[in-house]
Amino acid sequence: MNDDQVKLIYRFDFENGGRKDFEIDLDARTMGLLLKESLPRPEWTRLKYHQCENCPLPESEEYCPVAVNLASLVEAFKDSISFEKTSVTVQTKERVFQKDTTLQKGLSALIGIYMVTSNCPVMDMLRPMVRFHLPFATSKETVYRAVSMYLTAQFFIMRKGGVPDWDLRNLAEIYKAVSIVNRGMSKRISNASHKDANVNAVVILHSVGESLPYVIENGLHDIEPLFAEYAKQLEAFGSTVKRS
Amino acid sequence: MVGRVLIVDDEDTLRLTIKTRLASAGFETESAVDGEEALEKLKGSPFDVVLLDINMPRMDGITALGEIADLYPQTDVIMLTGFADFSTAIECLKKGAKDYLVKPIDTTELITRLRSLLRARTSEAALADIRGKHAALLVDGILDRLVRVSRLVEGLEGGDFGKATKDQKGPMTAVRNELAEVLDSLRGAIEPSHLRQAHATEEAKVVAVDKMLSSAVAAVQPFLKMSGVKTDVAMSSKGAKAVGNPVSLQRGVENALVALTLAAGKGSVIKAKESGSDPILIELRIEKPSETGKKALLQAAGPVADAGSDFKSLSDSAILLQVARRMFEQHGGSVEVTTSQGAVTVECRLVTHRNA
Repeated sequence: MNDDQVKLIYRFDFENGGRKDFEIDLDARTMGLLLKESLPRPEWTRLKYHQCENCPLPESEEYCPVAVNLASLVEAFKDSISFEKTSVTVQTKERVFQKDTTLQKGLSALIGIYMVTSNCPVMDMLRPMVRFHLPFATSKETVYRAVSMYLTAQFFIMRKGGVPDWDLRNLAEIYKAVSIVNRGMSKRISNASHKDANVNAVVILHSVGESLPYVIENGLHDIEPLFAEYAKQLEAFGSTVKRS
Repeated sequence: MVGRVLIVDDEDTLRLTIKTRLASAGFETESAVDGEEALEKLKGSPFDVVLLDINMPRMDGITALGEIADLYPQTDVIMLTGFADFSTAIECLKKGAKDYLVKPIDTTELITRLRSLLRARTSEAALADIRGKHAALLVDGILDRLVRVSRLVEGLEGGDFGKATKDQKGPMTAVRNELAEVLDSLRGAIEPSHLRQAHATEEAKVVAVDKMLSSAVAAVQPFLKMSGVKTDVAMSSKGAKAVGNPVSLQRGVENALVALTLAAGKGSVIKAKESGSDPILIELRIEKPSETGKKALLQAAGPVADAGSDFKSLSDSAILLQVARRMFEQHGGSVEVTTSQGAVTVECRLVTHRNA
C-alpha cells in the first residue's frame, strides 16, 4: 500500500464460525473509493428508484452513486438479523480496532464509509471524517468529530478570505440533508434485503445525524465542561489566546 | 411534562436519539433494551405510551405487545420496525398497537404522532369519566328508589297482606327476594368517587327552601303513609333562599326523610323544621325510633370512607344519608346525624343565597 491510498479492512467473525471480510481502498487526497473492479448495479441502485427528496443529481445520472457503492455489501448481509452477535475487527495502517457487538452496529460503520466516499454531493460534505474514521464511535464522539471537522473547514474558509460559520448553523443543515439521504437509502435497502441487518445499520447512522442538529441547538452543553480551561483564559485575558 | 414514554429498542444509539428529542419536547422518558426489560419497567411505574421495536433479542416486540395489551391496557403502544412489512403491521394493530412507524424515524413526526395520541387518550378519558358519572347518577337514583320500594313491600307484608293466603304471600316473598338481590348488586356497582364528581358538576341555582322542603315531603308521602309515620313541617321564615341544584337538594331531603322513616317505631312522628338561621338549617327529627332503626341511622353519623365496598356494609338508612350528605356537600352544605334523649336528628345545612 502506498501513501496515496488509505486502506481499511473490516472483518466480521460470527458465533457460528462464519467470517466476512471487506477491504476498502480510498484515495488519500480525495477520500474517494478506489475501485478494483466494476460494481454490480441491481435495479434498486437506479437513481429514480426511491430517489432521495433532496437529490441534487441531474436526470442524466442513471444510477445512485451511494446505492452502487453499497450493492455488494447489502447483498452480503441481505439475510442477516440486526442483533446477531459478531466480533468486528477494523484494521488501518496505524492501528487495529476490535469490538464484540451486534451486526447492525458493525455494519453501520462500514456502510457509513461506503456512503460518504460514493461521490454523492450531499454525503461529500462528510468526507474529511472518513480520513479520521473512528469505528464503533458513540453518538457523543461522532458529534465531537463532526463539529471538529466543520470548524476546521471554517478555519480554511476564513484563511481564504471567506466568512466562516462559527455558529455551526450550516452544520445542522448539512446533517438534516444527510438524514434525508439516509431515509431514502433505507427504503432502497429495505427492498433489497430479506432481513433487517442492512436497514437497521442505516437507521443507526440516521439516528446520529437526526440528533446532531438538536445537540447543536442546545449549545453542545454536554461537552462544554470539557473546555473549562479555555473559559478561564477568556475570563483572565478577555480572549482565549494570549498574544505576545 | 406532556407524557411519559418508554422507549424499547436493542440499539443504544436509537434509544438515545429518541430520548434526547422527546426530552427536548417535554416528554418524560425511560428506556429498555428488550421486551423483558420493558415489562419490568412497566411493572414499576405506569407509562402513557410505549415505543416498541419489533426485532429484539430475548423477547421480541410482538410478544411484548401481547403482554402489554393484557397487563397494561391503559398504556398505548406504537410499534417501530426497520423493515416495512405490512402483514406484521396488521398483526400488531390487531394485537392492540395504536400505530406503526417504519425506521428510520423522523423524530419531528414521532413527536406529532405522540402528541396526537396523548390528546386522543385525554379525550377518551374525559368521555369515560362523563359516562362513569352518568352511570353513577343512574345507579344512585335507582338504588334509593328501590330501597323505598323494598320497604313498601315489607310494609304490605306486615299490613293487610299479613292476612293473605299462602298462595298470595308467595309472589310477595319472591318480589322481596328479587329486590334484595337487585339492591345488593347495585350497591356493589356504585362508584362513590364518580357519584361525588357527578353531583359536583350539577348546575347551582337559587332554591326556594320552603318549596323544596314541601316538595320533598310530598314526594315521599306515600311511603310515610304506608309506614304509618306522620310528619310535622314548620317553616320559620318564609322566603329563605339557598344556593344549590334544586333537584339534587330535594332528593337529599327526600333521602333523609326516607332514612328516618325506615328507623321509625310505632307512632313515630318526623318533625321537619326550617330554623331561619344563616346558613339555612333544616332539621329532620324523629322521636322514639326503633332500637335497630336508631343503630342503622347512627351508622351514618361518622365519616364513611370513599370506597365502593363500604356501601355493602351500611344499612339502608345509612346509605340514604350518605348519598344525601354528598348531594348537600357538593353545593357547600352539610348533613349531620346526631342523637339526644332517644331522638335522632338529621341537620341539613344549605348555603344562603344573598342578593347582589
